[in-house]
Amino acid sequence: MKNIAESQKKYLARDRNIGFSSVHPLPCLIYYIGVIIFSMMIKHPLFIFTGLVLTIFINYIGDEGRTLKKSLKFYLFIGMMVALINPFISHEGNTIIFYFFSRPITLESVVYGIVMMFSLLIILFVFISFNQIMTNEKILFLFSNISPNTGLIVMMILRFVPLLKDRIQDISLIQEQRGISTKEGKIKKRLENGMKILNVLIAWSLEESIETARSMKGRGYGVVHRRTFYNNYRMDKRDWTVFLVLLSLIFLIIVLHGLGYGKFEIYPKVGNILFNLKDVFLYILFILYMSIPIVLEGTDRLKWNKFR
Amino acid sequence: MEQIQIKNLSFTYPNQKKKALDNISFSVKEGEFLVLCGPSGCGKTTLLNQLKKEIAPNGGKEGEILYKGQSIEKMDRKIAVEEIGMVFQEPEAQIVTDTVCHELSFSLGNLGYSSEEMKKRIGEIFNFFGMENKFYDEIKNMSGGQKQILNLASVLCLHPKVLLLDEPTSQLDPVSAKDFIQMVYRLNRDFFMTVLMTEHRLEEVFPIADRIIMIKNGRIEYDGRPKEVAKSIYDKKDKLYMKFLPTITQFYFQKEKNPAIGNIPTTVREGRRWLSVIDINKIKGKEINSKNFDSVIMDLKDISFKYVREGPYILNKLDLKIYKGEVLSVLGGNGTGKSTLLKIIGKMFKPQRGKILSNDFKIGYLPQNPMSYFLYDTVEEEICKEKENKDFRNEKFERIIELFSIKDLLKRHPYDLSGGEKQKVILASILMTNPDVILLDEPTKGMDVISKDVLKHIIDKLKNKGMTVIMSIHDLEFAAENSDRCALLFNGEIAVEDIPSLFFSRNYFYTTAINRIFRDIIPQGVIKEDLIIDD
Repeated sequence: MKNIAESQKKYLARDRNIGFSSVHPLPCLIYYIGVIIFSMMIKHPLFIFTGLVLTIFINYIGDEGRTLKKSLKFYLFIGMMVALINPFISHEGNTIIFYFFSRPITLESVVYGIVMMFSLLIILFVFISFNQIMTNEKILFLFSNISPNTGLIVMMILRFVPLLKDRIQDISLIQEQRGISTKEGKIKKRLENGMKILNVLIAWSLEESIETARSMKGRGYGVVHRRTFYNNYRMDKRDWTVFLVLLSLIFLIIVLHGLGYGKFEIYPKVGNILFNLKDVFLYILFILYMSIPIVLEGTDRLKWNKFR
Repeated sequence: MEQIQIKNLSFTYPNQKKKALDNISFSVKEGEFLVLCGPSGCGKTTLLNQLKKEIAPNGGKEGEILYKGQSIEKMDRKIAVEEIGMVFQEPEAQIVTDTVCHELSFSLGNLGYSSEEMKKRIGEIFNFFGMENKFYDEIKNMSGGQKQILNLASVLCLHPKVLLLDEPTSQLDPVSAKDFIQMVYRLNRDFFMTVLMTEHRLEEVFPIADRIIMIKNGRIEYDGRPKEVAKSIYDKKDKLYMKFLPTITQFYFQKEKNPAIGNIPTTVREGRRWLSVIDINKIKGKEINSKNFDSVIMDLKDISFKYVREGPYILNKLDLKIYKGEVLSVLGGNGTGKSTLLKIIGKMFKPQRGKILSNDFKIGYLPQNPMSYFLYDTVEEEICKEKENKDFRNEKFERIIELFSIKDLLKRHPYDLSGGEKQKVILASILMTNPDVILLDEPTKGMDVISKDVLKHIIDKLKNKGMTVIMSIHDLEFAAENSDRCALLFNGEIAVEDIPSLFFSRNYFYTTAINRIFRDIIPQGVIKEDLIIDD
């Protein structure tokens, strides 16, 4: 019963199938890789801040920000810690604000801490979206194309983890009747009992895996050297366009940034936050890249409204 | 033409003297529906495994098996996998991956089929089974019956010519079992697939099989069309194998002095027809003598229970009284909450709402899957080390061993026992704690008629000791035969509750085969033993 409720939730996320979540897994993966590269590479506060705002917006599109809201406090806490701790650890930089136990606290390291916090938050936030968009099915698809055997192992693990979890609940319930409980008694006793329960689980699962192995052999596992995979996903014209746009933007942004576009000096002295023409150009490219999921969602919604 | 020929096949498992198969010869025609039958341990599964060369166990093998005139050992691996498909007993253990889509593409992927070919075949299968929208479903949320159908579908993707089915319905509830067998029958009839099936519940397959082979100690005991086999069992007065026949057939042989093959009834329809030609005045019903139980030991009032906060109630305002010393069967379909109710009675779960008034009593619980119970390496330890490793090897231990007659099993590992033996060991271990109430969760699952008889005796013994037995059960015949009271669980409530003869005779659909045949003349006749033949 519990499982049914869970799977329904997952089902909804999987079958959203609109905007970015309907794009082929490969461009999706590329997008997330790009975001992570940029968030670590670019240090300019305006870029990073804009990026953060956009990832929040992407999260809002995904599930109206529900998952983000749940874990926001924790993420902010981690971010703040990074921002606070950095000035106390790193004492580089020329502009000294004050001394803390005769150690200099510099403006540079404060700024660097804040930039680091934003970068980290972008990665964390975008990871929430990654989890929603890249379902098991899609990750598996990417895996299997690289190595079919790894793909199979992942599929088997995806089956076994929940199965073992259910089983251990079952066993604990029944062993409690026999006086083997992990819920009461001395810690040593509880640990011992836990081991016993684990033993039962392992013995039972091993016993069953003999049957699984037979079933695998009976269905021809190992007959062909390289097994094949069922392809759920096909790149259509839009997917190719998204793919090419993403790749060229990543390439452009990395190269231009290397040439000094959008550079922001922190050490040894905090540089000028104001944009010059070069920076504006890169900023536009960056916004373009970051908002691709938003654009895709928007066009899909417009079409949908027209259809209705 | 003979598709499969088995010539003088003998097989001995390693380190064993006794032959598991002893000089077996028969051949199977293409498109034949053949059922292999016999008590557990008779060698029927061993025989079936020999036909699937990938999984055939090692051991001393003599004789040969030919497939289309060629020895199966010399068959091309790919062709062997494709043309001979097999479904096993445990629905859960055969599944390899997490979703329906992956499971179906597993077999095709193993043989290196292209994605396009997979798409075509899987699409076809989905259409055939009518499960189009289940493609991405996670297997863990499916019922046992659905899992077994999935296992069948996954084998069918390879377009097999022969289907080997090893007790495929033994772990399923009766409704799913019927669905599964009907599906196999359809494959046999519409696609000319050869079916070799082992089964110990002949009620369903008897009317549709072309041929039945009964095996005894590794040898073929009977071989022929179903009714011929039934007749020769009658002629030989073979009491053991008589039990495997459908109930109505057994009753026919009790009543009829000179049975003729053509008249032997095997289904309810044939049973009704037979009734119309005989003198029904000679069949009388037994008096209903129900025992009265009056001391209530547990009173469940308005019990509501659910597993997840947002989910629906599994049990909803359920009322039930439990009397001291009775055997109560809780019946109901899959997922209606029978096991949940048992666990609430056993105080393993606490209901969210409602009240339980109960005396102070001790409970013993027999889990559905015995594997979750065993902790030790030998049966002996399992029984005498009941609580906290204290050794209880005493007089009581001896008495319980005697009661269950398991003296021979004491030194064996619990995992090596058969299903029935495992149950006995668990019950013995439970009895060491002196319980007043024993809860049995699906005790007849996967059991043949003989083990069911043993279980019946055990229940009688427990009852004689003054214990209350509550079981959740799918098997209507067993419930009718062995309980003092039956309760039907539906929609979270007890829908009907009565003594078996009234419970079943008032039901129209949810009742035993005997009742469906005799209901017009003897309404209270629910099992064979309720009917008396008057000469």
